[in-house]
Amino acid sequence: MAQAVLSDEAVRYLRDVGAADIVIGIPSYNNARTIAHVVKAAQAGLSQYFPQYRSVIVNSDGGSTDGTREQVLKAEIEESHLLLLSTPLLPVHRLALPYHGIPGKGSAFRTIFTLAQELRAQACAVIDSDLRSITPEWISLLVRPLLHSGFDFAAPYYHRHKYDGTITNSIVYPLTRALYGQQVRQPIGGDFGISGKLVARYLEREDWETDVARFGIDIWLTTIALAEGYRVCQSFLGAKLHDAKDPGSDLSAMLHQVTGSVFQLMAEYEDRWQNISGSRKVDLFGFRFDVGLEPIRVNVDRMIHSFVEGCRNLEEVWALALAPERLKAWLSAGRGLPDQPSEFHVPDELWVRSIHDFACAYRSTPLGRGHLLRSLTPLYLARVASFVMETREDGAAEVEEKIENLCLCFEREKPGLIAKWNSTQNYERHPAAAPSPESGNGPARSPETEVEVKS
Amino acid sequence: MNANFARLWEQTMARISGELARALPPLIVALAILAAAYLLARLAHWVLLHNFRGRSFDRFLRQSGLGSFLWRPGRWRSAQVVAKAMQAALLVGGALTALSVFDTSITTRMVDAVLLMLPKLVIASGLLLAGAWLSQFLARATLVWAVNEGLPYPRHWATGVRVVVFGLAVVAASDVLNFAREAMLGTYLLLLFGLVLALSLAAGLGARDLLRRRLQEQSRPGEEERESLWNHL
Repeated sequence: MAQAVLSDEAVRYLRDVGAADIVIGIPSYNNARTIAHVVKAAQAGLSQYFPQYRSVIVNSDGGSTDGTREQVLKAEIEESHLLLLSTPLLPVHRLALPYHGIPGKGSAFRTIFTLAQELRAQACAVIDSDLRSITPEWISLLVRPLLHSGFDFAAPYYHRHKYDGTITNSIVYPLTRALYGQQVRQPIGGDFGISGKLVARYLEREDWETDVARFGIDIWLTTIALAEGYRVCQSFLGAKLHDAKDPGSDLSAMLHQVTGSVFQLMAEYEDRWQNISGSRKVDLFGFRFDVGLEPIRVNVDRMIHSFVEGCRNLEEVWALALAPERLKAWLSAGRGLPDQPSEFHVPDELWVRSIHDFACAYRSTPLGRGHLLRSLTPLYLARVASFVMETREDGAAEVEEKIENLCLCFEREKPGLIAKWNSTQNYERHPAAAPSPESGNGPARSPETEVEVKS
Repeated sequence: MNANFARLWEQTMARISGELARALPPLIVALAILAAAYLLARLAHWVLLHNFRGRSFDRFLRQSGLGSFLWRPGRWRSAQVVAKAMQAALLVGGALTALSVFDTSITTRMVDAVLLMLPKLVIASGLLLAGAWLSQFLARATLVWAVNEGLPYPRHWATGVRVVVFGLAVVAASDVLNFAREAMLGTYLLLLFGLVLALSLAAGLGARDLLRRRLQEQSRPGEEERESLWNHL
């Protein structure tokens, strides 16, 4: 198996090193500008906090052409005597190698995990290569809970600007929390600590070649850890500052990939999440402190415009997923919307039930999944626009409270999701019992599900 | 005069009664066959609708979207499809049998023609159905893509795709039926050429506008960079 995933170079390296206790993996693709800083932070973290452990830093690269791998190999900590109080007992090995397989972060992780398993590592941490705010403490915070406290999965916990991570805040965090009953605040954070045992479990799975593992790898890692009962904790890492996103990249595709992965895993673990109600807090390692955050500008008018365009054109696609009363609520809001509304409010209930509708439709119509998920984009932008307009004057605490309310709404509405999910399943067994498109399957229209607009 | 009229009347009546006497038995038989076929078709429809269980076929109809495509207000199930197909087959079979009872050259030719055309009709119908489904699928994909990309007139893009794909299915079906195949192909090629030309013109004009905007932006270096719709992610 390792031979199939690893390159000859990696196999030779494995023979040379033999074994390691800690593996730090850094997936990359054209990150020459930032990766040296990440490697230095990882190296300093290993030397400072784990001097007695055999450690390896692995850069799994997707074929960068800007010298990313060279940057990894030549990155050195300057004036290390000022940073490290003691001399490390064991050297930190470094390896930069291209991964095999389909391009994507998932393939990079697979290479890192395979190396970690072959090296019989007790702990493996993966960190993004475009981080600007990483410090050596991150390595300690991600690895220590695994080595010393018996946890299998350490998820990151960052302070982020209120408009940063809106996919996380509006869909992934509340839905994952409601489904699996644990409050992991950043399930797609990108920086994780994983025990050797869980690494082995990930590698056992056969969906590495699918879209779930390729594109939605972060939520894939978190969901498996939660759904299969591994011990999960969080580590407070401060602020997450990373390279600006490539403006040319199709970030609408990111929404599609992440939600697709969440829905796909919902189908796989339906027996687990249907028996869970409510949620509980997850242990948080690290000392929490306030940090200054880079402000993020958002263009609400363009979001609203995108939503209005969606309402004008996407009714037939939305009708495949949304219950009639939800469809009516969205359409009436979009069609009566002025160009620059002073107030625009998408109620939590409407949003939550709409996400549930899409999850059920995703499950029941495999051939139309792509359309369904992509058609979610204008609705998502409407929800973000609503969130931005409601929280313009709010501080971090108030915003967090609003997100908490949304999470509670997801938890409250879970029985409705289960009923709808199972009615789709029953349709195959008892077609006559299936919900008809006219009747819908949700509760009657109420003020909680109507979009409020003021011009 | 009266005698002539009476003779003509008698001859006419005799001819009619003769024709009736000759045609009535097959007509009665044909009507009986039609009635029996109708009853049998209704019975088969009812039995299949209430007893047929084709879960795999149901799943296929639902997952492919073909169920809602065939009948918009609801979703078709395999039992409905099979029951209706059986009903139609029995009715057509009954009608052909009833026609063949008359045993005339016209009815024989009609029955032969239908039997000869039936496989081709089935294939052509299948092609049209597949084409319609595929055109809807691709049109939806185009519609969603155009809306998310913020392109003008997303519905027009989708309609263009629908017309091109379904037109291809129509050309293929006409080829199978050997029905105006050259006219169909010619019309389709003309349509396709027109669409490509319109697209090229739109792309050319769009590129000209884009270039003008770029040049205007470059001539105003102090202007703030436009915010990305997605920078909050």
